[in-house]
Amino acid sequence: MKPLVIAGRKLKSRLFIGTGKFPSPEIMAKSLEESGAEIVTVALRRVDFNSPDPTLNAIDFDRYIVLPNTSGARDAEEALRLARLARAASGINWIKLEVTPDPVYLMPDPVETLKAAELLVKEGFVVLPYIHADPVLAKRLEDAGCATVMPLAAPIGSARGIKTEEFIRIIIEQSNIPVVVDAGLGLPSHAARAIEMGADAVLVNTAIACADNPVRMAGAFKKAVKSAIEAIEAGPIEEQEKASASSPLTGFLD
Amino acid sequence: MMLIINGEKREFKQKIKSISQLLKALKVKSDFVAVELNGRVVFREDFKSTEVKEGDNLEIVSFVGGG
Repeated sequence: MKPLVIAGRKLKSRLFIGTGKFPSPEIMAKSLEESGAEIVTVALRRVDFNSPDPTLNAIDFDRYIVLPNTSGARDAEEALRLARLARAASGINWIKLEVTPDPVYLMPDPVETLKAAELLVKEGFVVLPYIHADPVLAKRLEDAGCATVMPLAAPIGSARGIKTEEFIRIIIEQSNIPVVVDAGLGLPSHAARAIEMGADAVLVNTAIACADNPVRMAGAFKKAVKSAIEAIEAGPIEEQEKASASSPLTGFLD
Repeated sequence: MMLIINGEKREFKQKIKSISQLLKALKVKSDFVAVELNGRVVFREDFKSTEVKEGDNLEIVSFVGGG
């Protein structure tokens, strides 16, 4: 399998995992391990001095590429502030850029995302923007120097699968940077579909973290993504309008 | 002394001289913590040398689980 290269880093795994909403840090750590993921996302929040979030201690920063996000940002200014804080906290200059002013569907704001991306690239960040499946925006972000684009399949946490398929297809066709399908994937088959369509990777959080058995679900996603990559590399046949018999058609028992 | 930390006023009996001292007083490990002092990011290597004054506004953030 060809490695995926993002900002010069070679990655074997095409499955990125989000670390939110797991029932416990231990289950999260086991799920990360089971998933085979190399990139894991984290968020940045005010420290709660009375009960600090234990998630952080369960993530092995030497083992995983930790990708901080700017979740909670409502505009470019807030996203920049979060990105700078994340870099100061960790020394990591990779940032998953999320600007979601709409609290109901958490749709990313394209104008603010582009504005923030341009500034973050200038400040030396490796920018992975979360976007709607908008092929024009994806190109604009590529031109701005982003490392990937991360179009959404469906609203975050909705488990609805790839509702934006036709547009993700165009993004994949036109993109010269890796395309990571993010948000809304609910089942391993959704992740496999994204890879079979030609996406370079997928990011999954809720579908694993909120499953009855997150560790098993992490393994199921890993296998689905691996299967889909093997299928793509094996060269799938083209879709046809009509039947094409797989048994000889020489006549009845001839 | 009084400091505003993460949007809340906090009184400290002892005098806090630096950001390092403040983190100690709050029992926060400085790994993976970022601090903003009056709106400006303070880098980790400057925690010891950065003075904190009465009424300063600080944001102390760190990583949590997230997608």
